[in-house]
Amino acid sequence: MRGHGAVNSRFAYEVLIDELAEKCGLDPVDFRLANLLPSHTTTLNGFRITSNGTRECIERAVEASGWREKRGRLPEGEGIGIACGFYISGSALRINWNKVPQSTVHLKIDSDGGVTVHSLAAEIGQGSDTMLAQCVAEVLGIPIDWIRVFSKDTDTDPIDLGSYSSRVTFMAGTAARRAAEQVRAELCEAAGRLTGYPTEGFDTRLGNVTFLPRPEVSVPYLDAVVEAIAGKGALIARGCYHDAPPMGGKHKGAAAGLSPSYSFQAYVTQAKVDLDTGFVRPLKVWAAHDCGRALNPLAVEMQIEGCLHMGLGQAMMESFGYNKLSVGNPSLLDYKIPSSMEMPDVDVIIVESEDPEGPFGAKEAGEGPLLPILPSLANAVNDAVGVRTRELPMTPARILKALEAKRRAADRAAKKPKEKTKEPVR
Amino acid sequence: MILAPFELHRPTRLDEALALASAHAGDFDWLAGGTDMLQNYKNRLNARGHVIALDAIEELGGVGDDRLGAMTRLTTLADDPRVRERWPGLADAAGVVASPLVRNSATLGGNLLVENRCFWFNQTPFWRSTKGSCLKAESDECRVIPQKEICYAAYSGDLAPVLMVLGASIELASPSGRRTVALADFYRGDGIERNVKAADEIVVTVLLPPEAATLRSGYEKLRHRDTLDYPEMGVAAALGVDDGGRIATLRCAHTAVDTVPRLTDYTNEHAGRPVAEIGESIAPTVATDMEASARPSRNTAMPVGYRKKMVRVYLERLLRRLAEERTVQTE
Repeated sequence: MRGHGAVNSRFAYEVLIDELAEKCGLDPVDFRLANLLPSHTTTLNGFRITSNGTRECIERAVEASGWREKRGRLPEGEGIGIACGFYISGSALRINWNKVPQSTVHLKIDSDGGVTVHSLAAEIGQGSDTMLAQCVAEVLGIPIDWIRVFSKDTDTDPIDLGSYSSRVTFMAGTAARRAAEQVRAELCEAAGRLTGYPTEGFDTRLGNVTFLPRPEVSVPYLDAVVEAIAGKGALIARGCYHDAPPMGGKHKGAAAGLSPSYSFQAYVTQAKVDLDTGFVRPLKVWAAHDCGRALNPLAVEMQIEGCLHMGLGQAMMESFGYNKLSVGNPSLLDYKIPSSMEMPDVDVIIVESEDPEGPFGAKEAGEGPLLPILPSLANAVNDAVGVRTRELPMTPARILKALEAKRRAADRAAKKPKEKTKEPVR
Repeated sequence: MILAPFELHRPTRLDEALALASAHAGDFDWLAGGTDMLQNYKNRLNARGHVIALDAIEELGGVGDDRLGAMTRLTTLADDPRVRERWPGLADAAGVVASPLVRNSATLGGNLLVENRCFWFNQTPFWRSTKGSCLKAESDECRVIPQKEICYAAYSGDLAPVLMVLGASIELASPSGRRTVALADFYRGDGIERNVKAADEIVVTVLLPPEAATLRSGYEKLRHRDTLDYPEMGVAAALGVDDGGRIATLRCAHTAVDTVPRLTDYTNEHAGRPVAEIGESIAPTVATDMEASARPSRNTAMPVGYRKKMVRVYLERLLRRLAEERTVQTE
């Protein structure tokens, strides 16, 4: 389950926006651009918005897709649609009501200079271990392979609330960064002692601890480590992400969806509808996602593609039913998810908005990218054949039924004799 | 799921296989590619105590000019240039069965004899037990249409309709001898009876008449995904065209919309008419007629009305495509 709680309502919302634009006689892109909120604002329902790359997402997806040239000019049965989305980078409110930090990272450097990082952020294939190592390497100015991450061990790792709500990069990443910054301060002090230059001028760069005003004054990282641990033992630090700043209104439901920062998306989808069979197939998706600073662009790209695949399943074929009190589709042959054959070309556009509170400006990329694929496909279907989808999945039978209803209505309208003017019944 | 226990036999000669069949009469299955049957064994669907594997029997293999060994793998049918050139529709159909991995194991004979499928049947024993099972498994009552006589499980092979329109026959061997049956006469009865093959008979070869290599042929398959899925509906057609550009042969078949694949020969009705008329009038007429003969049951993933309707749409498209193809040249 990706993007839980947001996917269905986002689908309805984005399809309605498309309809509104249509009723206003406006291009849905222009309609959206005219109604965007800026960065650093508060929404009506009390969400505190920090960085917001929606405008850039829309503009780049529109540009890359050739929206302006394609809209209304594609061959019969083909269409193009746009939809946006946004998603939390972790929940601002804790799921456990105690004083344990939401994320904690323990970090240790001993005399060989190798860094040990302990975290309970759950690496489930999404790359959170890599992300933690990256955050530490960035602060300490050392290669990533000098860092070993120990995660998923409840015996030795400090508590982390887990991989949900797209919170790990934002919160565990921040904790790792804070722990590394404490150790960096000790290394700078050591370099100051070794060189006689003031501590404040030092920073860790490319395997050295360097005096920035005069870069030729520099201590190798390992020498700084040896000096720092002399007489007291390993450098040990802890960092945590404790609580987001206070936010949210007082109304009922005000707590839902509060986050220290939000990712934003805009997708343009080009799709083909078979007019005789009702089959819907996405041909290409231009997927623009604002994840703040992309710490690991390859991982961001993979997350976006994975989101698209799962979202297309929900849009095109997945549904979970009951048949007389038993699961109606209990196997993966009965429960259809898209295969590689159904995946469209994906043009991933990473928009970097630099979030002020995320680690090095980063926000989430694991769930938000699912949201816009469903409505952008539905809006493309409408552009292609003039059929609005209010029910998912868009199975061939369902789309064909809608197409037939539309044809019947058109036939009736064509056959209808000219109406005699009648006095309205009062 | 764990396989039901059985004793595996692997004869190298046909007579050995038939002797094993006699020895274990009533409690054995032939094993070709196993891609479907072993899955059913895992689901405890009519599993037997003895399984006689056919892969080591040389006589069952081989691709010839007028015959195909029953153990020919679907990948071979899809990729072999001789098959593609002589019977393009057969190559089409073999290429859209399941996925490449399955096609590497699955065989021609196995696909012709693939167990009929039904939403109520192809489930785990636990799932079936919650419904009191079905007529084709442990119960004496059908769940598709509640009654005790007829099983509505759908025939779900992709190759049979194509081989039927090509006029193929199959050679069967049993301990008491050999016989040849036209494929058009082979499939009979409900989802349990399925065909006229006796339990101790084995499909040796598929025989194709010389005419088959002169026909334009094709197969179109309805399914959710362009891989993996069994047909929700499939149509095949063969079109023979004489030197004057007139229809000499026109046969159509559908699959997965009944307990058996069904062939209809339209040759008498349309022979002598110009091929150009297919697009204008023949395709819609024939396709509508084939749609009327489809009797899908509510036991697969797609709605029953949709599957029936798609017979016409897919067949009309297929016939138009075949009409536009250039005549197949064979030496």
